[in-house]
Amino acid sequence: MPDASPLAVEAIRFHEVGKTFPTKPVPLRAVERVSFGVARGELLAILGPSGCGKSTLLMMAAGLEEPTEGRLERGGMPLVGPHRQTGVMFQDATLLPWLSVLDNVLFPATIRRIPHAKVVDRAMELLRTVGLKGFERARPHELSGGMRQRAAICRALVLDPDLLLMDEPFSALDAITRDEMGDVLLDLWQHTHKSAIFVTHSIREAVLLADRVLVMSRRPATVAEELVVPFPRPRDPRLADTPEFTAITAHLRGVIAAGMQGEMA
Amino acid sequence: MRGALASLGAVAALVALWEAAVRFIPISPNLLAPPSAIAEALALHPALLLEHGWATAHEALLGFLLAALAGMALGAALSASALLRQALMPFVLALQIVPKMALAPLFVVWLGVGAPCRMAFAIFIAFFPVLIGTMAGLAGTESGALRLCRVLGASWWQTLWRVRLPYAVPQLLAGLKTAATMALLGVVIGEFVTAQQGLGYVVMFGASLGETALVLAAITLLCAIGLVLYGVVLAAELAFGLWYKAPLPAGEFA
Amino acid sequence: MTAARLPAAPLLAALLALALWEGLVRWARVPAVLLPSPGSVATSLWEAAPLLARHALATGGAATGAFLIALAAGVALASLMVLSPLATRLLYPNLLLFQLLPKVALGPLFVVWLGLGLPSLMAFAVFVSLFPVAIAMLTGLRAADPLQIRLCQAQGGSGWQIFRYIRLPTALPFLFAGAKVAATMAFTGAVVGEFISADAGLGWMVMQAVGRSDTPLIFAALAVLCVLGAALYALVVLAEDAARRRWGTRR
Repeated sequence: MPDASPLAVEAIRFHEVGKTFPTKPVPLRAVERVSFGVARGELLAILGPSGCGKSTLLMMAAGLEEPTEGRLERGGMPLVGPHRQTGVMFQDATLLPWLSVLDNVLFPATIRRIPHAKVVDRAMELLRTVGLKGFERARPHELSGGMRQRAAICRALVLDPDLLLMDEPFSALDAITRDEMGDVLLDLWQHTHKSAIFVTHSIREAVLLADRVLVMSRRPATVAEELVVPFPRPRDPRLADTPEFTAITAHLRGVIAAGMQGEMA
Repeated sequence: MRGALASLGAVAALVALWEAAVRFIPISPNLLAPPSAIAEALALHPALLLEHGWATAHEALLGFLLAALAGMALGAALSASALLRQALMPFVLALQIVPKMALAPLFVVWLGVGAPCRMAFAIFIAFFPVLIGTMAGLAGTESGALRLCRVLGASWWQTLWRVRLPYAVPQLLAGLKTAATMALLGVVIGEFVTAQQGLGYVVMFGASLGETALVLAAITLLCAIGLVLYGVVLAAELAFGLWYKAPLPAGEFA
Repeated sequence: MTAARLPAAPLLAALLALALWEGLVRWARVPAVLLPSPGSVATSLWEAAPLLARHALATGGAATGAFLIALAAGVALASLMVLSPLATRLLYPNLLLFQLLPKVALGPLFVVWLGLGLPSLMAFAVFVSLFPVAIAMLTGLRAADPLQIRLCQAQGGSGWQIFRYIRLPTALPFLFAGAKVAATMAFTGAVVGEFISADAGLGWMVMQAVGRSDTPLIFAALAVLCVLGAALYALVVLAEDAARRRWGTRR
């Protein structure tokens, strides 16, 4: 169980973070002063409609965007720029087409000038865990979309980060592959117990995977609802078919719909 | 491979048709010399054609190499500096629109009728496709890959070397292919205008004498030189492809 | 402010370059044979205006005519290749081969075949500008979305309807890209043809001026030529804009 006591240092914390993009003619207010943290070992899902600014939150956590106001803390220290101990995954796998799957997974080590020999065992182990054993020498174009995204997970984890940031990592996949990837992620996460933020617009995915769900309002993003998912781990994908699970997803759907109506009014 | 064979077959058919047409239809050999007459002309003037062919070939090759170097260097500089782009791009774009080959006489005025004039003109003509290809290639990096580099804290140099350059190579190669043809054209047009030496000069000379077979023989050699230059780039592309292994993005036309 | 700056900046840069050029020529006393000052080019432009206009008309007419013929022929050729597999087999390999050849170098052949004058000049200009159009159009016609074609077939669309309603709109942006190249190539062909042998036209005039070392006139004639070439290019761009407005925003 994640350690949620306020005394423990959190993996990451947002303090009153707001973000405005200087677009013209009207500046775009993407995020409105949100505060939340992710405990060590916690998997937090950020749920919200498309274009609500949830990706901006993740970009700030990754150190790719600076908040306009407020501040971020990473492991108790102020966050400035991309952090060595953070793994990031995006909607597209963005594997480099001329590198083999293994070399793609090792790419973070290449950039950080870490000898491949030091991490190649870990890379192979990760590839085996996600079911890509035997594909180490393949090129990205020879893989299916789901396999590419598995390789991208391995790349995010290869340097053993303590925080994993995922921006709608499975939304480009078909529904069946998507469920499969959820299982892969659940499996990996239950083995490693990393802190993670998972941005998604799938309610089912959020409840099935996360310890806690933040529902964001429409832009500018604020936390509309916070929900601690009551299901114990390890979770089974069949959990999604239980009435308890359906009750929670129905509730969350209501919260999101209410937010949309507020937008209409 | 089958495509190459089919092309070869089509060319062979064309040559046979040409020979047959000239034999069976009474066309003056001054108008259209048959392939056999061209082969004869090639055999008849080997020293002349070799001498002028060599002049054309080495000027074109050198012009191509220098244009490639200059085009890549300036292309990289323009990609790196917004200030440089703002200062120079209007001129580059303006020169893209005007018929550059018409500017050959200027090079005669500046550099006389010798090899420097033809090579300078060839470099001038071949330089632009390389420049444009380099810039388009460097600008064409997938945005996701650049974001990945930022996430990993890659340096500017690492991003260039490990990601942007490999992404740029297919476009650069397309530019180099065009440049190979352009360099040869630059030299030949230069030879037309300076009328001093080279296959272009032989073509003009033969045309003025009505020696169609000699003209066609010189043109055959020109095409061969063009194919060799193109082959140099193709070899580079193949070597790159062996390393890249993934299917290359499609090149441009024209 | 920003909208006004966009066209003004290149113009300003060009003016600055002209001023720099004039200043350099005056300050370093560059002989006019090597680099005439913009002022002397302007003088030459003014003095030779009637002559320039006559030859510009000859070159411009030949190039524009050749461009239009190449456009029509290129579109016809590409359409034929898409509609008939046999035509593709016969023509496509040759088209690709010609694409590799230094076509502009074949100019003297046209003189041998068609003699001196407008027909050989235009034939040569058509020859060099035809290929960009044909290849671009063919690429465009083949770029049509196979699903859209299936959809059209499913509703009983004929081959011609598929061509007219799906392939042609897809090909339009490609065609304009090819036409832009062809516009420049038509002028290149016309002028190179005039370099080789002609008794009129801007290319011929330039060669005459080279013989007399009348560099200001060379610059003047080339300036007129560049303006003409740019004008034809601009017309293609305008046509492209009009087409885009008329037939949607697909780029």
